[in-house]
Amino acid sequence: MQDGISRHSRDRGGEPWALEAPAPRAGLDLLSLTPLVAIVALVALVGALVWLAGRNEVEQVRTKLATDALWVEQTLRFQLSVDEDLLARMALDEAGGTAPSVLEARARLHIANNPEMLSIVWHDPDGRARRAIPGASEGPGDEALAAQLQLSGPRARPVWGAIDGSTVTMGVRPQGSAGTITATISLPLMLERHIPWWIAGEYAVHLLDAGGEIRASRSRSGPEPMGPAHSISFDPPIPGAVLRIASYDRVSPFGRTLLPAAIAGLAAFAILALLALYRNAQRRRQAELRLNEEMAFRRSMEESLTVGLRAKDHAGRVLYVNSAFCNLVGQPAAELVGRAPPMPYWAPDRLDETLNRQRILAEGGAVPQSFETRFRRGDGSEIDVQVYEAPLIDAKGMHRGWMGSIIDITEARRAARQAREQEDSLARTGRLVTLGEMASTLAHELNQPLAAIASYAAGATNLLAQGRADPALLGDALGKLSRQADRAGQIIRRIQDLVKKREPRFLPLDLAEVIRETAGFLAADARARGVRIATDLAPVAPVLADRILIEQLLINLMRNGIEAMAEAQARDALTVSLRPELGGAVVEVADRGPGIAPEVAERLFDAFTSTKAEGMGIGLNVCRSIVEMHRGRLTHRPREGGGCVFRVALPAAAEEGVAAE
Amino acid sequence: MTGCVHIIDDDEAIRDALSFLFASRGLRATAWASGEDFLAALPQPDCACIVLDVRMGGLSGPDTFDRLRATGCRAPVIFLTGHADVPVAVRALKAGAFDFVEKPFNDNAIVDLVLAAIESHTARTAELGARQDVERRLATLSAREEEVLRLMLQGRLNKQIADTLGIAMRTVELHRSRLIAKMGARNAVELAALLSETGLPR
Repeated sequence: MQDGISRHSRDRGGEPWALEAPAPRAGLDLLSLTPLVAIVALVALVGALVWLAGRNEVEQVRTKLATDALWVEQTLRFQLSVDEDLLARMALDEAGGTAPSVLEARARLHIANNPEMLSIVWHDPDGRARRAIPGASEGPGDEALAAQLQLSGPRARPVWGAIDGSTVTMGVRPQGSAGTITATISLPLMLERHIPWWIAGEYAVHLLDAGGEIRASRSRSGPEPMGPAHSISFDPPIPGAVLRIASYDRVSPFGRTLLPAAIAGLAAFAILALLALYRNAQRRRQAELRLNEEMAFRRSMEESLTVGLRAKDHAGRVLYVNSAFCNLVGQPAAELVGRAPPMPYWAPDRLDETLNRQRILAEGGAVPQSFETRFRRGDGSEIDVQVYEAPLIDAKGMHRGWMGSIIDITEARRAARQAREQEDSLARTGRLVTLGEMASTLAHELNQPLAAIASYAAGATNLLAQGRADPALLGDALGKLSRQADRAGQIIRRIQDLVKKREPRFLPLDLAEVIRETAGFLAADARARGVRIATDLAPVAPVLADRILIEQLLINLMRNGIEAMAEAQARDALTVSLRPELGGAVVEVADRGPGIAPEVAERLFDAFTSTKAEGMGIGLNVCRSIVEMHRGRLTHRPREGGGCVFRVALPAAAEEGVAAE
Repeated sequence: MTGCVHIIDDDEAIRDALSFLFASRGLRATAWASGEDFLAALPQPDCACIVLDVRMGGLSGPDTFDRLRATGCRAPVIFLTGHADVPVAVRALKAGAFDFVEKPFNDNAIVDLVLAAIESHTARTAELGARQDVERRLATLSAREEEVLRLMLQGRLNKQIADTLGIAMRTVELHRSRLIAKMGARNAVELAALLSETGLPR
């Protein structure tokens, strides 16, 4: 059991008195879980939102890219179609017979307006360049294309050749003409001219040929674009060409990764904070639990105390009482706590003393004090208490008042008083009762060494008489003999110790009371022997006497009477009477025994005269000594109708004191 | 000398002193500290006399005496009593103790008493032995011899006996001489004395 407790407390790191740890509840505390759930939900929602937003953004970027790419494509196509139109018109017009100078002027104007068109060249049927705008030097056009066109015959729309370097050439064969017209367009210039700054700022635009080679591009110098790219086939018009638009602006890393990371971090932090809080709360709860347990334990200790506890401040106002104190004074705690003196439990006859003590306590400083006093309980009964007052020092080390522990000593006092009284009466009766028994014991005890002494002596005498006196043998016997003599002496001394000689104390004594008490004391003994004791007591003045000696005298006389009557199997009662007499009082003990034979009467008060088989013959002798010590007289006379009367006359206290003797 | 005196007393001084006293008169004595010790040591074949204290711790004198008699020990018992134990001792006497001595005893009185007890016990034992002997011898007589003996003790003459029993005078004489021999007597007078001593035959 003990072991279990200590092990248990070690496990918990708690106190030995700690209660069983409450079983951990299934699952966590719901309350502490709520914020966690909220945070997780919040994070999930925000995460979803961010993800959606991110997706949205990606969508938007893609859409915008596609839109922008389409726009760029449209623009470029439009431009090229304008160029194509020009060429077609010129071919038409030429076929229609428009003057070349007009056409050339128109071409010049167009090239001036559209710088990406490098040149327009008229070829003769075998494909050589005949005229060129802005000048012959400006590129020969595309003779291969011209030749090809020669073969294919006239058509309404221009035909595009393959990309050559960074230029591309289209050609048309006018109706009814033997030559062809080609226009060479610089792709970079076209991009330069027709892609606006707001596109260029955002995207890198490349024109690739069928082999994936970049033939022209409009992009910033610096890093390659990282964003999404969109490719559009630019095959008509330019065979095999692909337009690729790549966004510089990759989807913002913040939006895509940093924000979720930040949110996740924040969530983690919040959860950690929560956990820390939770742990803290747990610790607090445990501390609270321990505190509660300790409080409960202390309270139960206080309530289980059999010692009354009372705390009071310097003014004497009660701050606290435990249940034992309430039981002690028989009043509920509610009645007592907060009360200022005088207290309801103070004994009215000790009010001044108690108030005085309060004052002394207040003036004496913080020194523990102890005293005995009497409390008056709620039901009016009074109890003796022992009070220990100790200074009440609060947590700040201030002397706030007094802590009293109160113990009920009523029982103990009563027991002590009783024990004292009992001891007194025992000592008294012991002295009296043992007179007879002592004599018998004394006789028996003394008989042993005396018998041994007699035997040794007789043995030694025999040896001497037979002339076999071996000194060693005799010496041994005589040594043993003297040891037995010592033993006899010791027995006598022990008996003397038992019958301690005490100085008689003469005090005014109420004889009637002593007689009553003695009669009461002997009543049981008398009843056992079939004798009744009757008392006939008249009021008398007190006598100056030693109570114990007078009791001894009375007991001896009454017991003698009882024994005599028991022997004679008398019906009548043993009568003890008390009468006033001139100058004192007379006690008479009258029995209905066989009476005293005249030959014995002579020697009745001598030592070792006894009419009883087991009597030692010292009782009456002692009685007479006692009476004479009191200046009185002890006499006896036959009683009328049989029996004997012993008469004790004692002088009154008013007479000259006998204590002086 | 005779047997051994057993002293039973719980007081060592008394035991020692009495042993010394008995030894001074040539008596062998063994001392026991309690009745229990002595009873445990029974039987004592040469027990001539027992001196027993009345008042002892443990088994008292009278109790020891009762148990002793219950074992069949017939040795004489002398009680030692104190002043107040005389009534007890008287009761013991009635129960068959030899005598009691009051402590403190008078020098040699107890030894004399012990010697008297031994003597009387010896005499009693001898008497008892003789009587048993006569009884044994009587038991060996035949019915006819017993009849003859009865008539002899009545003082009849041989002739009268013969008439009474209806047998020959010669036969009576034969019976008579045989029964006298059987009884271990030398003649009729001696036989009569022997039988009167023991009060047999009844």
